[in-house]
Amino acid sequence: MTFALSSLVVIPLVSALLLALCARFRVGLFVCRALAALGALVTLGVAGTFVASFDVTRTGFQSVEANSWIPALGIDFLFGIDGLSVGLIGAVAALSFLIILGTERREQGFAGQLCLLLLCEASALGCLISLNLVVFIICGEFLTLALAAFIGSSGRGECHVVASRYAMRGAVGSLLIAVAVAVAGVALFDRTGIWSFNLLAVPGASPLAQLAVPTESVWNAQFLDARIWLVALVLGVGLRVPFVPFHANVRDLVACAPPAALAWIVAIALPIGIYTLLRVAVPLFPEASAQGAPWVSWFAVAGLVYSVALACAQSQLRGLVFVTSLAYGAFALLGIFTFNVQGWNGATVFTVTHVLTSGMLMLLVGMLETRRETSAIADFGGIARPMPVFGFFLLVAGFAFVGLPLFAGFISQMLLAFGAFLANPRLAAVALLAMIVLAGVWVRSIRRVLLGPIDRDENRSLIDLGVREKSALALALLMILWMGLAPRPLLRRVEPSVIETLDRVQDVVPRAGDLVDPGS
Amino acid sequence: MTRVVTEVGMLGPIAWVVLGAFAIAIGERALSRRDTLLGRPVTPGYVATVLGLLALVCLAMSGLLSAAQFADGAFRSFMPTHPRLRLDPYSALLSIWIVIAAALCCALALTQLGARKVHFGDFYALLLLATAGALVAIQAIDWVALFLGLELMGLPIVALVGFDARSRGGQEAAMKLVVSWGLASATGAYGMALLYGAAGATDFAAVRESIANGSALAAAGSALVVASFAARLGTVPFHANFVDAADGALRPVTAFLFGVAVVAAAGAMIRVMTLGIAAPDGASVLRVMGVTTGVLGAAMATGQVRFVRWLAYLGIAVAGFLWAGLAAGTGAIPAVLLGLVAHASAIVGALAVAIAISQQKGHDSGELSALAGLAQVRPGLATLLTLFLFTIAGVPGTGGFTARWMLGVAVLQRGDFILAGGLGVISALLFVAVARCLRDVWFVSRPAETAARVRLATGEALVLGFCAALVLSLGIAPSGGWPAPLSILDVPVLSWIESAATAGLTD
Repeated sequence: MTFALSSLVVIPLVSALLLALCARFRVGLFVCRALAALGALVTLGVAGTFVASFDVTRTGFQSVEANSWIPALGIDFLFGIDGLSVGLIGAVAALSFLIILGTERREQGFAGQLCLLLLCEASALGCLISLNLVVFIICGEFLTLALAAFIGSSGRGECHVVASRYAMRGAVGSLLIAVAVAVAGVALFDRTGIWSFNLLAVPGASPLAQLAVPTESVWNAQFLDARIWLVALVLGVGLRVPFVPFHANVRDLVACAPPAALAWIVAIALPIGIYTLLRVAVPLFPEASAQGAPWVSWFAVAGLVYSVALACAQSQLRGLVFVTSLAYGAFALLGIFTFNVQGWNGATVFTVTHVLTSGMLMLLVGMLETRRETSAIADFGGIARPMPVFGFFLLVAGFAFVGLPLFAGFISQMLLAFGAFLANPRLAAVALLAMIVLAGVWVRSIRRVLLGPIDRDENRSLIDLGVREKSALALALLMILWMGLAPRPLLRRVEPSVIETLDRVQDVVPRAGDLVDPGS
Repeated sequence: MTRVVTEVGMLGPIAWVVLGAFAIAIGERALSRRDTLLGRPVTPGYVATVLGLLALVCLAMSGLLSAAQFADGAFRSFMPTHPRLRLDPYSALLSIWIVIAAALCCALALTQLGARKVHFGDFYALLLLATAGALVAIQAIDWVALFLGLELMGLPIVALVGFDARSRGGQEAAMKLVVSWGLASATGAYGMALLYGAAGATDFAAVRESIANGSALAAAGSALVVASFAARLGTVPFHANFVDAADGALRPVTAFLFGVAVVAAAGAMIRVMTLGIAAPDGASVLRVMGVTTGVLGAAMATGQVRFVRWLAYLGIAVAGFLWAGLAAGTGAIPAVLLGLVAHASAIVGALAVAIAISQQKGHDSGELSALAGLAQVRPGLATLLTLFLFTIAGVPGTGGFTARWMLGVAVLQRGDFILAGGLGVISALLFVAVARCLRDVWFVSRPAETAARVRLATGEALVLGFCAALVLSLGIAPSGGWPAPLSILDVPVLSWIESAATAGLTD
């Protein structure tokens, strides 16, 4: 059975519509969750067929689906997948299902929240399959708005203020990305006379060659070059996705957002940000990226070290997951700007593994908060005794998150480290040291939560995970283990696309070892 | 004979509206002497409703004639030997919008005026006269006709703003509008006199030639004309009285100000800029006006506590895109036109929501805070308000985004990065202003005492439905191309606008 790629967007969208109707007519919460889970499960099934049927012997985009939308503006529904996106599509669909399955239900507004979760899924998958950059931006903006609405609807404290701030940040980020993309479109028109924002505008030509903007003064812009637009794009991604140093305003978000929303931000929005850099930023501005690579590498390592310092100071589990994700985001940024196959493979695999590991951890944090209404590390201790199953899952998820062997996180971090060492051993050494400290912080935190004496009475009566929660976590764990034990299927899908993209980029980029080190 | 018929036929859209205005004025006197009409006792409210429906019929006829002229695509001039008015694709398309917007305001007035107990037929007569003025202004290709059109539009609007004689706010707003638009008229008239002095003729083409020859007199006249348009459009620094007028007027009149008056003045100005004075591409003064108006309008909106004032400032801010588009040259005109229609629909729709809320609460508090928690009691209205405000903020999927994307690309194609940056700042500020309001609409708990529900009146429902469909259609499928079951919605508005801008703005 074959599906159109657009069904990945249509199915969750239709499910969201049905849930909106359920919310309107006050249908029972069980039915709502079942409907949402069914929608997410069908989407996962369809995504699974695309992942399974992906031809690893071919390069370029597969399952391409083209429909005209606004031809006068160069905006089309052009969908396709390649190695950069295929794994992430499967992971996003999987985590969306798990979040719906694992989220605790609320008496008020639950159907609306499930509806928003499905809208988030539709937007995220739209981002990943879109080969038209305007549609890509539109889907990203919808993802931000849906997440903001989800955060605001939680009704916790000042969440509505936090949600509007998040939406504003995202809108400014989208605006910056839109300007950079518009510049690329105008540059393409200037060179070829073709008015399009499609990555496949010129049949037969490579996606990179089509929209790539040369560094030298483009068209009639004598005083600005591509580096400005690259900075705008990276800044836009940084605002949408909290990279260091754009994370400061997100602290209050971490404090009050519901765990499911936080799982989306940490586990899906961040990898989509990395994907934006891989898919859009570097291919659109290859020369500017190459010139800026040494600076970005230093910037990434500084961000990584700073995030690790932040992690050391975290007192809440949710905050720890968040800042650790910031650190991994910085590590992936370092990998991208190494411009070698290992670094790019690592960054691409990271987008997939991070979805599952950080998503599973946020689910666990949510389950803990449901029982104790806190995730402060000091409030726990010895909870492995009343909650042995929870303890097992937290231990395993924590190990997978920090990249221990046999788990999914190990593959991506190893590849990123290899790539970084090949490009700049000194920076790589600093980054690796920071990662080791981070692992230590995690081991210490998990030990404090799970082991030791139970010194608070509330913890003695904690109820262990239910069947629904166990099922969600077991599924996540299976995928994490599968990727960690048998990474070959994922790498076979990723590598050809990475090599193809890097080949094009390296036509204009000096070899990784030749990159100028601004510190020298 | 055929020529005379064609010339008079060209005046059809205006004639229907003017005749309708006179018929309503006379009809009200005649009907008020009767005891019954169509089997029902005659009351002022009943008479006004009948006359309002008559106004809608006249507007529908005017719209149909304009649509026929647009479909024909031909250029028709009144008095071809010395043309004063020209009905071409550009003016026909804008005429269609103006007539539709006037009809929307009529529909809003049918219920709102009754609720305010100012339900008099004169209202519709004045509204039709102002519409006639708007039609003359956008068809004008002669300075005298333009002046007459703007005055014919302006004076009835002033009367409409002060229509509720018991409202001190309305009276004050009318006085302020008299001062503001009077100044604009005087400035414009002086500028036109200078242009006549330079060119020796009153048609656009002669003046353009005179400017091309480097006449200082013509340049000074052009500057004064642009300043007069700026005052009519509420551009910063002429915005204060405009905002007061929008706030003090009855809500349907506020909708008329933004849906008809602003669009007509902007449409006439675009024609003046391209055919009349041929403003140089990238003129710095236009860029400064655009960015200043947009940034200050959006910034001032954030400090407002009254909904209509807040909306009026947002309307002023989006007018910044109009000036920026004019600065970006003829390539940006389709984006400007699309933006005019999208933003006008959004503002009219948002005002319809405000009217519906005031009906529900039984009074019009007018405070922005009255929208808090709207989603809890009226999720449908909250969704529509969100859609309209998203259009103003330029969120994807709405007409506001399409217009802004087109404008941004046109500006970038010129390599004008400073203007592009300015447009980005305006967009960001607009989003901030809108996000704050929507935060309260969706996420703030509503006080329990306001939970009573009132059904939407037919007029409000029609206006809300039309405006929502239009802004969505302009955002989702501006070029048409809906799949088979929805092919009835297949309206290629974008190509209409592009053809109107191409064909109608040339000699």
